[in-house]
Amino acid sequence: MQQIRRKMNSLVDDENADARISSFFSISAILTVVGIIIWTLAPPPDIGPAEGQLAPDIVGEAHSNGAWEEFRLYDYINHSWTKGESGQLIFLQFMDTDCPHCWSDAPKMDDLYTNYGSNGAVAFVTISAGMLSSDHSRGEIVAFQEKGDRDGCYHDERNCQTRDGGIHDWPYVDDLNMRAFKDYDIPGVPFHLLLSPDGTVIWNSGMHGEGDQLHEPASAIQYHLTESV
Amino acid sequence: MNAAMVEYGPLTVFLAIMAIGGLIASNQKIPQLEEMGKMRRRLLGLFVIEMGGLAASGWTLMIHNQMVTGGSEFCAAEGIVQCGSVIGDPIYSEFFGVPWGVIGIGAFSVLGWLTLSMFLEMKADWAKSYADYAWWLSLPSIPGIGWLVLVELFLVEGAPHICPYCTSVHIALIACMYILYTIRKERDEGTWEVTAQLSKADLLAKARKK
Repeated sequence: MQQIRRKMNSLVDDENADARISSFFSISAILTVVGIIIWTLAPPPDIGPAEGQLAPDIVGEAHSNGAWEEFRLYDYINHSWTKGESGQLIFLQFMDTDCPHCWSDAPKMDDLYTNYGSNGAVAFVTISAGMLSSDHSRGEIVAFQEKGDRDGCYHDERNCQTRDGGIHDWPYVDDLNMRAFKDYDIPGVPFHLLLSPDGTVIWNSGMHGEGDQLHEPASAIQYHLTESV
Repeated sequence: MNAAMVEYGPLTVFLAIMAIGGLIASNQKIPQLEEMGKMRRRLLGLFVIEMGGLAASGWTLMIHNQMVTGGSEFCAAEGIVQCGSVIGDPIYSEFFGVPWGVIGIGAFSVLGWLTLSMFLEMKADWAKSYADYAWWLSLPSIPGIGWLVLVELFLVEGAPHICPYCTSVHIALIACMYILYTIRKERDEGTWEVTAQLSKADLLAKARKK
């Protein structure tokens, strides 16, 4: 009698399993159809920092012309731009006000901006991250950008006014919360990227090591202004 | 194709699916479903609404994908009733980096699986408890909907905006919650019937038809 009951129970279990498995396959089939429609009509964009990918959006506040204003990277982008059309390239610099290499990168940025930014060929944006463990603040970002009289730059060891180069006239984005830094998967600072007018990453400094003819930002910008775009 | 048709055609279809689901789940007499028990009708109606919600969520994901790379032809971008400012918002269109459309698809898929399992095997021991699982799973949609309505009305750029496709998903979720509440209530009252209990007169009429 017990054996029969056990058999009956296992039969019920099997039947139950069938209903749930049938249901699972039905939902999977519906999801497959929905997925195919989505991928066909509006596939997810390929977003990332690698060359050929659409650069991730950067949203926050940027300091420019003496004031903090809302900033969105995609406002700089013309999504309908196609190769061959005229358009402005976008140069992104990731830095930290306390990083010694960023300190020495500042005058190089001056040169780049003088050669390519002041004539409007390239839009420059600096993203100031709070990567290092030293103190950071918006005041320090502004002091670094404008060479203000404030102690705390360069590992909290130097006055920001003493950095080489001039005042930077392009937007400095506050990324002290490291949001953009993480989105771009930045290995270290300073880090540079060049975007085409439609926001595609066309040069990533991390992908061009020593010896590569596009290792230096200036050569990459020059190449893409004359050869590529 | 006509732009208005592309913008609002799918919305009409999704809302129609949800309305049909609501009708099936209601107590309204439908001759084609007279052999189906009340609870079975509720489950079928619930499943139809969930699939309508899933389709609408998928559509919002498509709009989101297009908005990332510019505009979308699937929904208006100007005016108060539009999707562009809501689904295209760089901050509020995602939840911890996941587009709301993906969350909607996931939620409706799990709810759909639970509902279809119950519908296919109402006699099973677990079927009644699945109504509870579905109910508990649907509860987080309340703060979710509340937050998104707040975003539409106050937080997005140029607020207020009403995103019609997002609203259709909210309607589907609220309808699901209401039907699940009714199902649980009726189950607790002991009306979890497996087949419709036809009266002798109904049985006779049915036999005569044959």
